[in-house]
Amino acid sequence: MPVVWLVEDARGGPGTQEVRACGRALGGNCRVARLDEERVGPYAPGLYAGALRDLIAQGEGEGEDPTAPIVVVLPHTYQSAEYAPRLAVRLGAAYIPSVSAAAVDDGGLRFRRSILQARLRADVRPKTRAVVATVQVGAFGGADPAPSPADVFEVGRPADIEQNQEREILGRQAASAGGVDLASAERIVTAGRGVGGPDEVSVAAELAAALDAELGASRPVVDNGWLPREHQVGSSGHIVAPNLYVALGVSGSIQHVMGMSGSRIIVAINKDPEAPIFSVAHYGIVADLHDVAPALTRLLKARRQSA
Amino acid sequence: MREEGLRIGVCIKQVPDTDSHLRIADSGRGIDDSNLNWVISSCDLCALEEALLLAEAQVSRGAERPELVVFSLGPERVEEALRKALALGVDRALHLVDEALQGGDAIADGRALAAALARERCDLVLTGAQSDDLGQAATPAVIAEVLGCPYAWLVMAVELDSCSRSLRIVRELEGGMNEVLRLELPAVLAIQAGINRPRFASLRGTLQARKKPLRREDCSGLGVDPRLVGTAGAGIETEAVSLPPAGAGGVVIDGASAEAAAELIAHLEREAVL
Ligand SMILES: Cc1cc2nc3c(=O)[nH]c(=O)nc-3n(C[C@H](O)[C@H](O)[C@H](O)COP(=O)(O)OP(=O)(O)OC[C@H]3O[C@@H](n4cnc5c(N)ncnc54)[C@H](O)[C@@H]3O)c2cc1C
Repeated sequence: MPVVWLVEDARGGPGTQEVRACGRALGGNCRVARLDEERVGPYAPGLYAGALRDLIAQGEGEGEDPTAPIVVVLPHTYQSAEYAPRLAVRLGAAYIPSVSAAAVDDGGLRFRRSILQARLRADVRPKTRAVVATVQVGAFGGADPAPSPADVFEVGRPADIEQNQEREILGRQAASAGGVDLASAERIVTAGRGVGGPDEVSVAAELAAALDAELGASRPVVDNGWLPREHQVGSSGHIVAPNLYVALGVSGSIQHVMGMSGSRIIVAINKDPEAPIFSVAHYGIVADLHDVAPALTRLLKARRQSA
Repeated sequence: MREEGLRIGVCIKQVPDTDSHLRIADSGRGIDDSNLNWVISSCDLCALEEALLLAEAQVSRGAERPELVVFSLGPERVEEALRKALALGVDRALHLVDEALQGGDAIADGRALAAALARERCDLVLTGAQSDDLGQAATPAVIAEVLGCPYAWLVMAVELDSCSRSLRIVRELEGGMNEVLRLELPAVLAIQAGINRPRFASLRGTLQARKKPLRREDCSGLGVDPRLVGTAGAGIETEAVSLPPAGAGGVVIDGASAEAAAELIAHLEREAVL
């Protein structure tokens, strides 16, 4: 059975439950590496990789079975996914990021992750004894959040603190101007890259108007400048949970789905029947959105006039 | 420290066009690559654009223009991606091409790229935040680890001060927040999509690209141990790829657009969301 290190932030934070659930899926022989900024120092990638390496390598000497696999599990957050590959290199471990499932079977350890923008999933195995894995936040759903009674180890300051000079934090700021109230919207119609271009965003805007909905956007729509950043739904935008979410030409990437999977009713209109958005949608129409969305808008307007 | 101006290295990956039709290969371990359209991964295009913008900003400030070098690891087809980078305005290209470099994971590839970047003594390394195919977001971190230098992932703005040899960057955080950081050179930055709008190559650029230097390097030229790169150096093995389960119990509505729209509205009325 593998020795599993669960990396937890002392302040809690996203992914803590998923990390624990992953530990359980790997057999439950878990230890917690607790990271406290007060003790380790302000976050920097090399510093945290070094601090964790020291703790885990030290655990090595303690009469453990020298052949048992070692798995270090972190949440796939913007902080830990930044330094986890550096930790893997330092431990001589394999690196398997953003996993959505894990198991131990006859072939050893097996992890599942999405590839090609969530269009396919891959089952991968480490070839090395040690592996560093990050867990997709929101995966391992429905797992029992109670932590297993694991040994908790405080992560200390690394022996080599030279790396601490690597970055200076100058400040924090909001990524967008704000002004769009997506978080409290009852209904949202989101334009994905599939709308086709800046001028075609109007099909989504018109449907949104007919539904009394706010207008959302996937990240590429914002990145391309078709809509301002404050419309963005997803892990790096707004996390929303309206009554009705209509996704037009959105493929359903993990980062997008993280931002809207809590919606009560999800409708997807996409011309690709294999688009991953259909696996979270309650109602799906496989068609060209430029045909269906205007038809919907017309019917909704007519319905409103007759009401 | 060198006397000449700064050198910026950009690492790019050639990936299947995400709009291509994807078919699982007969082996079941990957996708069938016989009929794919290959492109530069989208964040890597942003990294290239950012390097060009940084070079232009230096010039307009009266500083020396940094030299821009593009790196890519992969089979023969990758040369097309490197030529495209040259057409966009990069000065020269390095193609890491060797049988022993094939089949690597992010750690193996990061090692090989780091060796090439160190040989070229790059002061700043830019890559995309994650590739459109495997999306591991790991190669730039491995490069930074091997080079032993500061690193930031998900970079949304870069200012380069060549006098103090430092960077002021904006890094994306969760939930619509950013942080502003100061890093010293040499450094590795993983550029996030949306930082800029990549330009298109001009005809003139495309013609000039043909004459720009494109060098091929193998393991011995890079001085890397073939056991640490490619398949031999990879820490992971893909056992199987599969399609995600279709429609988790959702209702699929068929028919012409007007009927489908009417049917959807009927469902939504029943769900009491209208
Ligand atoms: C760290 C990080 C954070 C990220 N954060 C976010 C985030 O907060 N939000 C977010 O959305 N993304 C985010 N992304 C990007 C994410 O990975 C995807 O690239 C993005 O969500 C894809 O957007 P899309 O679905 O609009 O485009 P695509 O994936 O290109 O999908 C377009 C879809 O439109 C369909 N289509 C095309 N034409 C038509 C038509 N005429 N009719 C019907 N359908 C059509 C296609 O079949 C396709 O499924 C993030 C990525 C990273 C790395």
